[in-house]
Amino acid sequence: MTRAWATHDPTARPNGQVFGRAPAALVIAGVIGFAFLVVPVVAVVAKAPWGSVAHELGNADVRTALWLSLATTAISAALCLVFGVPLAWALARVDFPGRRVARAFVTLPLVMPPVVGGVALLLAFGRTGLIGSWLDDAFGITVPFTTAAVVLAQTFVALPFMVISVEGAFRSTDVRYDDAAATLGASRLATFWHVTLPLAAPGIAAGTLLSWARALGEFGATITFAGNFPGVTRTMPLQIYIGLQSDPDAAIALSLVMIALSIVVLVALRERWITGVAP
Amino acid sequence: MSLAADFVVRRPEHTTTFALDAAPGEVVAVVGPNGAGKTTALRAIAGLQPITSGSIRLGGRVVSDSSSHLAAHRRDVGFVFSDHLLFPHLDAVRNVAFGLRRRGMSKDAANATAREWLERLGLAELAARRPRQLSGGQAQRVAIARALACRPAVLLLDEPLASLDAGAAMTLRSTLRDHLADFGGVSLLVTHSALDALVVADRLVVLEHGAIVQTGSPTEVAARPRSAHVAALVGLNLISGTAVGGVVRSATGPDLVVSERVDGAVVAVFSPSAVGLYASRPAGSPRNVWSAVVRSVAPHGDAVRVQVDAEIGSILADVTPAALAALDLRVGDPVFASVKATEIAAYPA
Repeated sequence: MTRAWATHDPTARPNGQVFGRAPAALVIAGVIGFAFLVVPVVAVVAKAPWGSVAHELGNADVRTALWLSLATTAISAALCLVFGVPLAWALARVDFPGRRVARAFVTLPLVMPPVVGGVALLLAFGRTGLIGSWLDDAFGITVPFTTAAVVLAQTFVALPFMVISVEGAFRSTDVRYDDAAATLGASRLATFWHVTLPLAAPGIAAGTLLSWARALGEFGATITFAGNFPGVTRTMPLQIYIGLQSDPDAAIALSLVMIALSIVVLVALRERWITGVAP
Repeated sequence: MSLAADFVVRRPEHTTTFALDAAPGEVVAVVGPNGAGKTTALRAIAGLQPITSGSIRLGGRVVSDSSSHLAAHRRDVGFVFSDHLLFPHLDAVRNVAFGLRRRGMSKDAANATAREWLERLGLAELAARRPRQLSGGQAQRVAIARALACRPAVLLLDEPLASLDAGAAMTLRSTLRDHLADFGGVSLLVTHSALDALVVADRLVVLEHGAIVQTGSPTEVAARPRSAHVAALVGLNLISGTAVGGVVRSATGPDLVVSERVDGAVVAVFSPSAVGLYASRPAGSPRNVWSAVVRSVAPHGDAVRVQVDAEIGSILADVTPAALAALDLRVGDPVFASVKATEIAAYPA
């Protein structure tokens, strides 16, 4: 196993030729880590009730959850695009005091437990929350435990992926293109639309895909802030969790769908990385 | 529109002091060694770099001073960058049309005007190409078309030929000369090359260590350079020092005897062809003889240019191939260099 890995992985060959064989201890640890990541996915595929997958996915509850997930994640991804791209631009191009602190806050939801994110959203948008009490008083709007809450929870956890990906794209494009645009009479906004944005398009596409995938998988913040009401807030991850207790086969079928979607996302990103900057 | 600039840009690493009054239609070349502040001066005029003190006026209107700064996109200034900076996601036509579109021209009109400019620069058949499908020379032509298409009041060119190979630079140089002569505004051309400066410019500004050391017509500056950099640029030897009645006391070494009666701080200039090289110390008329070491030997037209490190400094000497063969000179060989006093021009620094 060890030897087969070392000789069949093409990227290992140059090192193998120069430095000798890869140390067994490192290879074994790496293989264990790899197996740990792959075996569970293989298990889902192996244990799936292949004969009844179509039937399970035809289940009304499952279809409702699927549809709710697709609709809410599409809105979340759009929100990430609309607010995340300008935020990334500000972090990449505007030299304002406290920029480092701002960037730290942007990345906080990445490392924060999603459940805590849900609690934080409740305290902000709940009926007695910072903004929620005002929304309730002024407009009679209640956010928690609605489909809107699902979208907010998903956007909260997904937005950092967009910002980080797009900020990287903005930073890697030569800022002197902005100079060139300015000397041609382009205002900063025109430069953003006609130069900065098109040049960062691959990074923006990647960010959109990543944030969409993150929104699709969102569970903790959703169940805390939006609850678990069929047809209203019960998205696919919640349906899987519920289904595992009552109807395991439906849960496994849904898991298969989500694994398939994840693979599609990976392949799409891989395509982009291989083909590089657009046409 | 005229350009009236007199300003200082102070940055942590270096300070640039620049002053220039230029009339519409004038082509001014800014020359100087790397790090002299040429690009900084250009960026300040374009509005890409704020100035610390002084002012910049375009057509009488103050666009920069110590307290105000008109944004680059509101100035009527075109910029050609040394590495063209064409927008990689746009084809040549849309690159040239970019500035016209930003000035409110309709898409069709902008594209039509852009095509005319591409045609004028001999690029009509490359209109649909993206920048990465263009050679360096073609891309720089598109960049020049892009800057000219907006009909700016001032055109700033930052070493536009620097990244091109010699052949492409040669053809683009003559294109540039023709178009800058037709261009009605002020042109400012930053360059490393004496050829660019002499072929294209009406006036030369020499910048060294962040300050102007000389201005004048190309022939004036070439004939009476005031700095070693310009002298080297135009292929002359220059030695500066203090003169007392025809003897220049150089800062670097022995005295230099000149035929002119000058006093005070002077520069002494002589052509490489005025320098003679000898295997042993020559007797007789030459008053200026220095022992030296050969640094390099290279063909130069019909002659051979020999660079020697003499007691008085680094000197260029042009000798005939026959003389070189007779001397049998190689790099590192000792040699004597001499110049007749009558061959040296000395003038106040």
